[in-house]
Amino acid sequence: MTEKNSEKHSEKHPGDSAAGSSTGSSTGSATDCCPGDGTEAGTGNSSGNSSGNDCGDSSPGGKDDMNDNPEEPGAAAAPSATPPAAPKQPGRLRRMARSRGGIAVVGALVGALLGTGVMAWRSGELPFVARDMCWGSLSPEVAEALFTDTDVRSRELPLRRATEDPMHTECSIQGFGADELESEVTASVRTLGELKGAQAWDWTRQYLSSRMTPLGGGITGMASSQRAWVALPTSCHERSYEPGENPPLRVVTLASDASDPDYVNEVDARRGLDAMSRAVVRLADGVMEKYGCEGRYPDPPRLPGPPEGKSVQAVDNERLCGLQGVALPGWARGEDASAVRTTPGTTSDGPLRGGVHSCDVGRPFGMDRIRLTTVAEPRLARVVSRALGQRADRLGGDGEGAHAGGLSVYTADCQRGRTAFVAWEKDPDKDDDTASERRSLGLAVLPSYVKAEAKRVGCGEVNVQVPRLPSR
Amino acid sequence: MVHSARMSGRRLVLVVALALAVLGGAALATRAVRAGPFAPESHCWGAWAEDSGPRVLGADYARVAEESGSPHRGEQAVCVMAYGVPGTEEMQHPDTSVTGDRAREGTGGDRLVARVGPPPRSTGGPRRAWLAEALHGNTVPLPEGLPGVVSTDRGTLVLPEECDSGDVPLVVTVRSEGQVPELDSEREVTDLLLSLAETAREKAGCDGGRPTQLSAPVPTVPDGRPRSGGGPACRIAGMRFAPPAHGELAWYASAVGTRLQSCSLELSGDGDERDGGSEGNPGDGDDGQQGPGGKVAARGQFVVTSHPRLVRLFAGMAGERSPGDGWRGTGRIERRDGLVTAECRGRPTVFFLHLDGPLASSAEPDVRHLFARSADSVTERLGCPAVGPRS
Repeated sequence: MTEKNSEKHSEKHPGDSAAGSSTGSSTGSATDCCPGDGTEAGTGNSSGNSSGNDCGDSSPGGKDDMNDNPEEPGAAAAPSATPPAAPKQPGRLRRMARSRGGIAVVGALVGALLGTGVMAWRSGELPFVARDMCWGSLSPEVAEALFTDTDVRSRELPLRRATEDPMHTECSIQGFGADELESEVTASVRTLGELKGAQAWDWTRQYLSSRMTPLGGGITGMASSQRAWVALPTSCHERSYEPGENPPLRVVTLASDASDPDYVNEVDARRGLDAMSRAVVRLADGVMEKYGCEGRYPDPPRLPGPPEGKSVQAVDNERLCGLQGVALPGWARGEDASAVRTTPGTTSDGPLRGGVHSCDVGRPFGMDRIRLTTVAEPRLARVVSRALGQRADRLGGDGEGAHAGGLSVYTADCQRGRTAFVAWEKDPDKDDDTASERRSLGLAVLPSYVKAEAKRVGCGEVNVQVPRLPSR
Repeated sequence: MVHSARMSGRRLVLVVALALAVLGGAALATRAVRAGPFAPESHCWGAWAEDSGPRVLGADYARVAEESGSPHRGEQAVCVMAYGVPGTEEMQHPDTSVTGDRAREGTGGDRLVARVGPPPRSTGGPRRAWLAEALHGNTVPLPEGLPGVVSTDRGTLVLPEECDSGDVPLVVTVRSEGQVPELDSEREVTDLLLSLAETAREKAGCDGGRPTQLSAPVPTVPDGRPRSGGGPACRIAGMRFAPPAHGELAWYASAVGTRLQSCSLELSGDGDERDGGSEGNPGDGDDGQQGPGGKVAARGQFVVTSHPRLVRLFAGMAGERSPGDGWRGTGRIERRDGLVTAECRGRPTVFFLHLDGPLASSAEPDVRHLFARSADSVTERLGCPAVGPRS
């Protein structure tokens, strides 16, 4: 009983504690008038006093018993046979405990209890210490850094085995201020390799924006103040795959609030990026440990964050996204496409660090004209390439691709394997033109973008053929 | 009461003593199996202790190992560990010979061959054959900047500079042979490779520096199958061959990173064709191995590396002269081989190509141009100026 109550109190649920002790007192009074509970009930709630009347001597007797020393487990197991204040008439258990055999039994019991305690301590399962959240991967310190509020709680679905497909499980970390839910970060483990169509695009759109910084250090993953992801190593897969069969990509992710807010103030962005990048790597390590796969990633270094608001760069119309040969068409130039932001920590030449390069073009406070993305990580590129379904219009050229509704996806075989190139117009229907007259900025820049990026990704010369663009 | 208190005090002591004894006994028992008279047996200079993790060292198998030589700077040492299900015919007569003739015929059981030593001194055929094995394209580079590669059937690691003898590095390799040459995972091979490296450093007296360890997850080979068919070989835009008259051209190109890129080529053909195949390359000792479409008639390899420890493996293979007009760096391009060392993003980078006769004769348009174009497809990716002349 005491253990149950103290566990309740160790949790930070002020609302729950009253309910917990009320049930405790009612069962206590109904069965054996357990004195220890009487005091708890008296302090814990008021309704407990009325039910405590059944137990006539609860208040005076309770006080006496509390002064009595903690009893041996054997004695406590037989409370009805011997009143605790009468040691002169030894019960059967006490007599046994005094015999030599009894000493051996008690000794062995104590040894076993100690051993269990040590095991629990070593495996981190002690009941009174703050639990690590989300499948045991995030320490309270790491989880609390994700919030400005101090009171952080978590709820999680069980982490299913990696063999279960399609696998998607979540853990919600909630920040409370004045006992009100104020913010929430969702951790999830999911099989990205099984996503298709809108789901595949939704993930790509949220997790590969130019706000995301590659984690580096041999980790396939990225982080921003709002989103973070890490690919689980293929060695973590339980199912054995045939040679040539590619195991689906699995990732751990963290998500908080909107994926791509127009503006995040510099201080929050910095703090959020540091907290998210550390938490997502710890989450990956924790999940890897639960899956029994070897190897751990070290905490990431301090990552370069994305520029915000006025500090985003002005667009270079002749070298869009810093790429030689990629020009913004004359008709698309102007206020709507005056600012550009590229994946922090990457350059527009040299090897593609982290395997993903994204470039958002728009206004300084709202980069929503067009996004150009290169995904050179073959497993991720395969996910991106499934964003468009069979009904999308095919694109010709050296690789394969399609476009529909402002989204164009093109893939080619390169030195590292499959690479995907994406052009996405975020708001293609802005002008109320009829479909035939609508000009697609995505299709206009895709060929030159693919040509420029394909070279540095190691695809050689890749030409894209787009349908004839309506001209004006 | 006084008497009873003393009695209970003694009882308490007894209880505590017994409890401690139970705990202590258990703790000792768990320790005892790892050390002392019950210490597990170990193989290959003590590098591979039984039950130390990898499944080949576990309870499923029996093992017999034979060492020849001991790891020393500048010297070759080989250890062959045959393993198999206890009591089977293979394990009654295991083949622990270095040549492994019976194992190759399928009667010697499965084997792990551990080698510690410098690359072959010869800069010709033997070195090329060694490189083809050590840096096979069907491997992935080890993480955390370790100078090596690993797959499910082999691993290579160049030991740190302290182990060099003169300019020649000491290299540890593990190769799995037998009916099912693949071990469970890249991780298992890596564990075997790293424990071998630690032992080799101890024996060779160069274990002073940072221990050879790995904490990050070991990557897996993305696709173990050889690739063939349309498009350029090795997914490298400049590497083009005329379609073979017989057989099929296949390639392994798993090792593609910023510090190492390796691709292995195999031209399969009919048995009678292969006699003329690797003529002039007596060192390419893979006779009789099966390619994807039958016997391998010719092999090739293309490597680009800027890892200083891996660059060392190519030392002495090409002179210090310019490879020719329009080329950057130093090196030499011959009928079937090319080796050029040039600066790329501030790092001395080796570009290496070897093609057996039939492959060399089908290079488009010729070996020299194929080498230049392949190297420049890679410099394009790495973001450094072309090494070959513009053609």
